[in-house]
Amino acid sequence: MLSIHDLHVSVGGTPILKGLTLELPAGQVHAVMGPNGAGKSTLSYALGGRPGYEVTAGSVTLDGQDLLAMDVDERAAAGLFLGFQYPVAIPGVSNLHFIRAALNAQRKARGEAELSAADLMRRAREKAKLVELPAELLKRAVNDGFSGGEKKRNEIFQMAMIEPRLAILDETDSGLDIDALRVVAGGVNALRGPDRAMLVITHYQRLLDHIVPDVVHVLVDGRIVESGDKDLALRLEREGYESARTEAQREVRA
Amino acid sequence: MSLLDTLASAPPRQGALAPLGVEAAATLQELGLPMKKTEAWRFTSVRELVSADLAPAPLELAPTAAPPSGHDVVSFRGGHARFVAPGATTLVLGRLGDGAGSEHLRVGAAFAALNSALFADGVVARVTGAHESPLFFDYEGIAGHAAYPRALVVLEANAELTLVERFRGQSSLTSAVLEVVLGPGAKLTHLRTHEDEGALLGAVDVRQARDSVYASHVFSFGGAPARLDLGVHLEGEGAECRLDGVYVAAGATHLDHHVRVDHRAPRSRSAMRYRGLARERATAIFDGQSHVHPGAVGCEAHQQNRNLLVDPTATVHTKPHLEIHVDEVVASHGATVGALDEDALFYARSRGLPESEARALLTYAFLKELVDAVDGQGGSALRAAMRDALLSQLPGGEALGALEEELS
Ligand SMILES: Nc1ncnc2c1ncn2[C@@H]1O[C@H](COP(=O)(O)OP(=O)(O)O)[C@@H](O)[C@H]1O
Ligand SMILES: [Mg+2]
Repeated sequence: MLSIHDLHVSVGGTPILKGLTLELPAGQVHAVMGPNGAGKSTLSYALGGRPGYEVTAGSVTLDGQDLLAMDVDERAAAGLFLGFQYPVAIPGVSNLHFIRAALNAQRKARGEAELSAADLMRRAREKAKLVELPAELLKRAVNDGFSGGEKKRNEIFQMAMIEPRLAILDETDSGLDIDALRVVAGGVNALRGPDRAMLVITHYQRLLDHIVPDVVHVLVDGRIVESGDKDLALRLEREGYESARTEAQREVRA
Repeated sequence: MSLLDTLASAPPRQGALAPLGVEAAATLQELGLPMKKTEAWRFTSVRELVSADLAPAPLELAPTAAPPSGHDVVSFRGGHARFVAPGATTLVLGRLGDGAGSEHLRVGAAFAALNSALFADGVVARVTGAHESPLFFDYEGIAGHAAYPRALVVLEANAELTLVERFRGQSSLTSAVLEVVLGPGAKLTHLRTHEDEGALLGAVDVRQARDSVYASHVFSFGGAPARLDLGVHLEGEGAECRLDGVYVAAGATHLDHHVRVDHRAPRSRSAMRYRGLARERATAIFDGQSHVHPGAVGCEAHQQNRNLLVDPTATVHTKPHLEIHVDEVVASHGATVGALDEDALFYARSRGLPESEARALLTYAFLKELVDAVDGQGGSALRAAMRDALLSQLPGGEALGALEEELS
């Protein structure tokens, strides 16, 4: 579904991603782990098309379409969803209003009919329950005055409303206590399915106890240095990222 | 006719209003009308206005139809007012020329003084107790004529009123003066919309007794120029004012807000929040002044002005200013001129909103926060009306309005 090949990304002229290759088939959940500053958020922003994240080489396709040639909103309409590490507050726009605007825009871009107000409300109530987002937060301004946990749950709520083909979740676990983590993971797991793929970016192994990945990739200094099954995450937890780094260097030398 | 000729040929006023006219004419003869070199008028040129015919529109231009019944409405046309007697006992409408309330009238400065010299008659509204429904002042500006509408609103102790002023039309020159006197514990919610596409110069002067509350919501969407001089005098202990303003300047529009609060009593509170945007070749000006005078201890004075500068051809001038002469004061001020938040823009776009829609949504959100702050009698209907008025000024506003419908 998602094919990233030899991706190079610079921010402000500084190379951050330095030849990243990753294959994510439909129906799978992959985790990307790595130390702070490795380029994990850069990867998600580059895939999302954030201004300032300059792709200098490489290719990315989503279902065979050239993702990098699309505008930010076209990527969303093509099925990409970004869960933000730091969700942004938008005072003055209610959560419901915002998600309705997003859904309508995506549907319009795909030539589909708008969702009726009644359908939207029904779906919103159902999905809010899924991530235990209090109903009154639907009427509040987007992420405005939300706690850290509420913001992350709101990201998963939006994902559940949008039902994207590909979700990239950037450190959705950071700042969550164990109960909130379980709720967020439950929301993510509910969306797993044969037609959907997810890239779960995390710094810690503990999220992967709840969202069990098919593949774990280790991202160090702008490259995937090692990939393996879920046990790789446990080893990283024990031994740290240094082991992956040195192992990768050994491979390069060999 | 020039200023001096106009003053000379104005019919002499009779009765209680006579001294005001004499004093105003003397002020104008001495000081003239402001020119660009006057600091307060630095950014708003009135040269063309002053050189045009300043004679008041004739009485024949007064409203021909009575205002609609069922609401308390005063209609002004060419500066001349028409109204019917209110049904409720909490509100009395009268003519300034009959002498009621004339002791409250002040000459004012610049164009307010011109109004004081030239208004033919004015309206006085007196409120006792809580008046249930809004009082509307509708002003229709007429091309080719100068107009000097004048009004006085007096709230007795503990009275409550929502006043809605609407300026529309295409004034050649309207110089409107409103004076407000709030008795102890009185509460006035005041909405004012500037949609007149002509030249509108307005002065609002508010005097507040102890524990009174004045909530002002100004919405400026039109005017070339539209100038507001809003002055609030916190004269009684514990008096409070909240002064919100929203402006959208586009095309040839020139919107100038001068807002001044004078704290003259202990524990009085003021908060100014003005937000707006300027696009195309329009100009927006905010000048905020808060003065805390000696003896006004324990006051709170806040000022905030935030501007979105949409196009490089648009202009924003902002000048927040605090002057404090006592020690125990909580005060803050700040002004920003900038573009939309890039993080929020990317966030909205990443959810599927095309860039133009994302910009429209964020712009609307930025201004709508101040629409949401409107309350008072009939608050929800007024908020809806203000929201629609705001949306009609914004690109993509109709689609934004539709998004908000029927969601509850
Ligand atoms: N907007 C930016 N401007 C400058 N440097 C940036 C920016 N975003 C990221 N970087 C740099 O890129 C590197 C990778 O950052 P990031 O992708 O946020 O890492 P991670 O998410 O893995 O912690 C870091 O060295 C960071 O300082
Ligand atoms: Mg990160």
